[in-house]
Amino acid sequence: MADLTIALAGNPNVGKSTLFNALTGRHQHVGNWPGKTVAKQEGKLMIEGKHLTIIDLPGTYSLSAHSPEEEIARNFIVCGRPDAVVNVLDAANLERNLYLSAQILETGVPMILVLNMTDVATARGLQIHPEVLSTRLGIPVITMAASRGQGLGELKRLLATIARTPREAMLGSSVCA
Amino acid sequence: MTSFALTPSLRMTYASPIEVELTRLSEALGHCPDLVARYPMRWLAIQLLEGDTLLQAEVERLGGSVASEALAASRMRLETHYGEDLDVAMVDQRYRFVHDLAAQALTRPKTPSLTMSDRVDRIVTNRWLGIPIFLGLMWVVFKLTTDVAAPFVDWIDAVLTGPVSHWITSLLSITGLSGGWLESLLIDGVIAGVGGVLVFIPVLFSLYFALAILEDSGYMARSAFVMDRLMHRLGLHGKSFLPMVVGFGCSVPAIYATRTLENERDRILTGLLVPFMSCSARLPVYVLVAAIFFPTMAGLVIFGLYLTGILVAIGLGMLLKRTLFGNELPTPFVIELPPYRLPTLRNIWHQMWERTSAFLQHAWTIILGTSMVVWLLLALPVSGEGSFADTDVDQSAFAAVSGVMTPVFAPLGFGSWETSGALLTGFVAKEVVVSTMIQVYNVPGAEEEEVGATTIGEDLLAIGGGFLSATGDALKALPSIIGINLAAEEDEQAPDGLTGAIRQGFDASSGGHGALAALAFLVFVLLYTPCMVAVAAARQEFGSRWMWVSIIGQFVIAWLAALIVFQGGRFFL
Amino acid sequence: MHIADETTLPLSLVEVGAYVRIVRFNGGMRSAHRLAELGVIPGTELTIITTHGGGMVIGIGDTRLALGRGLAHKVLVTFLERKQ
Repeated sequence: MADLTIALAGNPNVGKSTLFNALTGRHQHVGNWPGKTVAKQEGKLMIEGKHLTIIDLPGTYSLSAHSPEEEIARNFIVCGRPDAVVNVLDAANLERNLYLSAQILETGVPMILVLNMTDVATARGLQIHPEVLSTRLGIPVITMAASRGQGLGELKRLLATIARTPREAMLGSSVCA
Repeated sequence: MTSFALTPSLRMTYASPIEVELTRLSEALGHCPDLVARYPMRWLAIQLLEGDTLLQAEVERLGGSVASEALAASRMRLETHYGEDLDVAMVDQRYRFVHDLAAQALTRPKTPSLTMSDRVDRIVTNRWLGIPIFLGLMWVVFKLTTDVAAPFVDWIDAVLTGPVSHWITSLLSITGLSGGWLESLLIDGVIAGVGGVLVFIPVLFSLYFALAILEDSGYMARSAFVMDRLMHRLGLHGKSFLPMVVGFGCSVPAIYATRTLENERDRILTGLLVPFMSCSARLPVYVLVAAIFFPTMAGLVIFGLYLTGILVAIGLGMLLKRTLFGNELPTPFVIELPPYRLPTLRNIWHQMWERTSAFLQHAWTIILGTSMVVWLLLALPVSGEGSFADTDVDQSAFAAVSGVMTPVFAPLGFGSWETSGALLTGFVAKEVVVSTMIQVYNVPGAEEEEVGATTIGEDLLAIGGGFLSATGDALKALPSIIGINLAAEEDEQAPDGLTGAIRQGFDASSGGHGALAALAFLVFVLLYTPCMVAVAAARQEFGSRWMWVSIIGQFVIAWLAALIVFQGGRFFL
Repeated sequence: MHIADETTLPLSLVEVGAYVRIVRFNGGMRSAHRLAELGVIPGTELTIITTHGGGMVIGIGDTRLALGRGLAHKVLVTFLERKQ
């Protein structure tokens, strides 16, 4: 029985599967083309004596379901009642990726932003200010380069804190009643 | 430490006319407890105004007419502001919100320049070079899955039929059980079945290796773009191309790969055409039959079969586009191109491993099961004086069951119970066609290979040596991808007894036109249902109705094509 | 909407390297919503990275999108001076 359910959501091809593998030790295929995770994948993670179920949702550009895989992602975020949604973003393509974040925001589900591929962004001369996003949105924002293992520790620490925190404390108002 | 509110504190506001309707609509929806229990109200109202048809149906179902009327009224009031484009306007406002957010969180370099990926794309998707580069890469993938995998396929086959069967016989003789039905079950049923699964590994491994590189590098999305115009003419979509390519390896992952298509029409149409791409499991059948009937031009025959599959898919695609799917506009083609990346070995390995094992987990029960059933039917005597597991094949239950099918295949030139039986088992999985043919054409005494007594040590050495030489052959095959042939031509020699039996069988059933009947047989194998697993996949993806359309359609097309080959050929020859 | 002061032309006729703004979509657009979600909205500025068989690769900010031929015909754009 899992104590917490955490869903990974994001656009196709932002490194969600790499993060999923790094978190759960399960190896699922990682590709560089849109739409590779066709169904949601499940993995387990143990943090501080709590069982976390990590769900890797199919990549989606929006919560308006245009294809069966997007429907899977949408339904889980809205009705699967995850304890938190980890929204993975491509830091090198921030604006387009934030579009989905804006939609997840509208559902009111508890969320964490992970700005992945910061190494690519830096190489292109982009400077990211995660603290600005965190302050404006009022949620934790983590920078990461999952392929190099950077930022993974921070995410795990954050998940550990979530696992320790009683559920009610995290939810401002109840979502999906 | 970060603050512990995970629930966002920022709320995005839309233009005031929309906000007014959002408030009204969520209040109206809030009267329906079923909806409140399922969805956040504001979110639901937003999606409904944006025109989400799935949720609208849900609201009609759960909320009844009150909810639907509230929605219609809100939409009507907003039409004065936004006309037909309310949905786009809402997306636009969301993008403005996101744009402001990104502008604060991101400092851009002064001069945006072309990225490395852009420069590569100018070559790879170039108007002249795009298609040649694509075709070149597909050729490499094809060669990898055939020539490079072949030595390993032979090696696994040799290990199973040689040392492993030999060990089992020895073990049984130690326990005093040799020579009986148990030995027959283990060798002809289990080992044949396991072998049918295992020989798949090298083919799938090399296929997934190639796909992993194409995917990880970012080329796959480009290939869809480059092929879009051509696919469009066939009534398909650029994104249909990927499942088609995967189909040359195996129809099952190809059918699942259709999920990347957004439009249901495109998905189903692609799913119907994918099975005509000659999958790797059909190849052993071509090799065996072509080597027997067309020894001098086996390569040409096999190539022709692949081409026939493609042509049938093209023709059928164009036909279906004009008939069954005629009245729908094609979906506009748009796909994101991820930046090019260097694939990492770790990723590629994981991908090869995961996908191959996932396939094997799906397939092994079916293949092993079929192999056992065929064995059982072959072991059961229904006439003559044989006893269980010791009966002549033509007096077995298998011959009786297959015999029922023969009239169907008689006009195609291969109406014998042997071929009917092979095709019947081929419905379950193509890789068992060859093993069934070997089982049913088995001439007593002809297949007994003299195996000298060997020790386990010698066997292990032989297995290791075989693997090394297979690796050597595979490496030698690598340069042939670009046209250099290092490997000396080897003649694929089927066992003499088997060659003779199959030749006689086809000659007898076709009135002397054995070669023609064999060609018709191959065309039939190419075009009818790839396997049970593919059928199951089609049902899961497209529903029972399309599954039956697919099964029956493929059978009819295969039957007609084989008829044309045999009767047409007989007319001219 | 009336657009008189802007010269528009279909995206498909624009040369590689040009910098343009989307003005509107020509004719019925079956997937306008989906395109909008990917960032293809009237008002968006974009560059043409490369073309192939009537289709094209466009750059919108950091996003690269490939558009098919039919789509490129329907997107009407106007030329912009490149920002310095």
